[in-house]
Amino acid sequence: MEQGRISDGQVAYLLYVTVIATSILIMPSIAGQQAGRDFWLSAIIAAVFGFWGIFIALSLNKLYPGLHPFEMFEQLLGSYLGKLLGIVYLFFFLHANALFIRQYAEFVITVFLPKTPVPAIIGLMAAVCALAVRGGIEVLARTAQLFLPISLIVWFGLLLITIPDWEFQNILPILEFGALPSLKGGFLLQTWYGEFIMLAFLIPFLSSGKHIKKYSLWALVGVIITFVLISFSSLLIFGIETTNFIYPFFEVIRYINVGSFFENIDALPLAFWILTIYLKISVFHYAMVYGTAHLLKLSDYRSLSLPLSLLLAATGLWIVPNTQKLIDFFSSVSPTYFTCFNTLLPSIVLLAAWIQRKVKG
Amino acid sequence: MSQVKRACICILLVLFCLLGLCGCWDRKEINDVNIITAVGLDLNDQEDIELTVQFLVPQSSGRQSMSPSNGPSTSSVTASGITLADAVSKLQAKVPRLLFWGQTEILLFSEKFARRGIVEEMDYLLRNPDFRLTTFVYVSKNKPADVLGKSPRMETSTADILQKFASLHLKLSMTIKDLKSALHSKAGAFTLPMVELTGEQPSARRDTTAIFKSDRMVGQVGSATSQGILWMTDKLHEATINLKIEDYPGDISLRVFRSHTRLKPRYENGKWSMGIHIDCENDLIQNSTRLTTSNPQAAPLIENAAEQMLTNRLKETIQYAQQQQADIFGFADAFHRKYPHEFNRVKDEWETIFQNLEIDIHPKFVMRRIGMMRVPSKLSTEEGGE
Repeated sequence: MEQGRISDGQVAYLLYVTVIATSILIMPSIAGQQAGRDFWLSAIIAAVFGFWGIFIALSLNKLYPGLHPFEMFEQLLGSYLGKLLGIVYLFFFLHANALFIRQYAEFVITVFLPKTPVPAIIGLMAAVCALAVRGGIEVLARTAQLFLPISLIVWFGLLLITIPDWEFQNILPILEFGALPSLKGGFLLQTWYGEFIMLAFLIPFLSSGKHIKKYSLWALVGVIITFVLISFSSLLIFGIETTNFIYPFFEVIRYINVGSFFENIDALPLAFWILTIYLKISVFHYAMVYGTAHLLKLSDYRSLSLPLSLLLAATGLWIVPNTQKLIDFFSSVSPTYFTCFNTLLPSIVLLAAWIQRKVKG
Repeated sequence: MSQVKRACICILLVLFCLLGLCGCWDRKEINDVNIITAVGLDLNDQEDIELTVQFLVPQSSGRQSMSPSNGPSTSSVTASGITLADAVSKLQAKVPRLLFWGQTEILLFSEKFARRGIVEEMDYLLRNPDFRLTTFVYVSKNKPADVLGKSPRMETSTADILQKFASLHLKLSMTIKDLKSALHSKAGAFTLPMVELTGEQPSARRDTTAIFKSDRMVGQVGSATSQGILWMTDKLHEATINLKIEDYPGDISLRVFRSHTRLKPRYENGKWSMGIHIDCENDLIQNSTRLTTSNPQAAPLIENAAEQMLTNRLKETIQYAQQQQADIFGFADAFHRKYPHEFNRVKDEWETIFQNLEIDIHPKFVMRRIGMMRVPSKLSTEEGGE
């Protein structure tokens, strides 16, 4: 169904961007609610879940080489149950992606476009993503390869500028209330690390796949470094106050002021952030569109992209009434909800597949 | 032919995409906004918030041909309301253009407002996404409405003057970000710089410092204590100090060009104490005594005198703070960083602990350079006269 093929390195780009796009904005404040000023530790602890996600995806691929997860479900559970699990995942993709697109809209409206209605912002983004997915997996991979390096250079360049404002004493005291708060914060952060399971949905389109293990681990290392850098920059500038901001990383960028002429540059990193959130929404949209076409046994998935993006936009509008609910969802519901689909269900599938092999083999 | 058609359609599509770039709902034309440079908060007689904003007056001639006949480059408006948000909405009703907060350089509190407490109205400023965390904050001795109404000749606005003062870092300067962390610090006390504009061509007096406890201003200290506070909190960038040396009548002036303060909190046997280590590097800039400063033996003499002077000054500063029970030096945070568990047990009685805190000061001055003169001018003229 998909003729396009992508390289191992491009998968690493897509994985990296999928994990960081939504998280860098709110990561310190979400983890900080539990971990206090130790949220940078949480970012390191939670990486275990990223490692686990990669492990599951690669092990499943070893058991069912080159198969899409939906095909694995059917082979493992039989036609009906396998399809049912596939449908459950489709709803998860829709719901999760609607959350991402709404988060993007809420952020842009809060900081830049207060009068612009939500449907306009969500609708335009959904349309762009629909177009990209229609172009196929290669289009996604190549836009990632094009946009991501530029965005990273801009972000980290800007973070370098803030270094004179870093006050290293803000990091102390470490583990004021023991290790438990940082573990709790880590549990909140693993929702994003868990998204490394998207690797399983990208593996079928690999051209060779020889170095996929190496590249996906590089993506994980990249995510850890990004999280720790973002944590440090906001913690060292704002101290414990970081946890009171909704978007700490954005506050860091707003804080940049070099010699009172290089200032007020927040629009620049935001523009590049939109490139990454576009990639994340597209990756999830692609998974949903491809999965739907697969379940319906269509010969081509392209025609589904636009109609399903309408569904995505509509769900994005309905999903939460306001920013408070959205933030509450990310700090209370999503740790268990996303864990179910990102970590728990895939682990069960892998376990079942192993047992089946043992019994049969 | 069909290729030309395709190209035409492509170009049209691209042009159509450009339409989206202007952002229909949130379009802000430069001609429709009032660019605010400074915000002043005061209380009026009914205890309502009185908000004054200073904004730029657009001038077609631009900066190059600025001449006195051009008229003032800024103007100000005042409005009151029960909260800051209310005052802003009343103020917006008074001006024909949309208020634009993104370029605000200065936030001024009147003394009356500062004494009532600032945290409630700070909420509006921190919530507003246009407002910058790098804005400098002052407590003004004059009414903010008077300060912001003045238009100086040297700079474009009083906001510019205050911003330039703050950027010099000669005295205390605080941004909204610093203020926000200070409001939530463990110490429960902090300082803000005070400013008084004098004369028709505004020049500023900035040698006093306002002392805040929780979010209320409780007092102010003069020049010497203000410098002591800068020294204690490691915010001193440059200073000139004058010394008297025994047996040598006259004054010696030193320019401190580098200073570093380290707090060394100690907790031993249930007793809290604080060591303050200050390293300064300084140049001799004036010598009106007969001391031959080029002589290597002179350096320790001057250094000792400077250390003695600094110790005395800091002792006075500390004494004042302890009397007020105001931990303006951030000692609480220093203790919390090193002894988090021990500190959390006593944080409710911190004020009394701070009052009785044993503090020892270890200043260290290092003389670096003596300028272009080998012998003091006084000595050389006397020799020449003989």
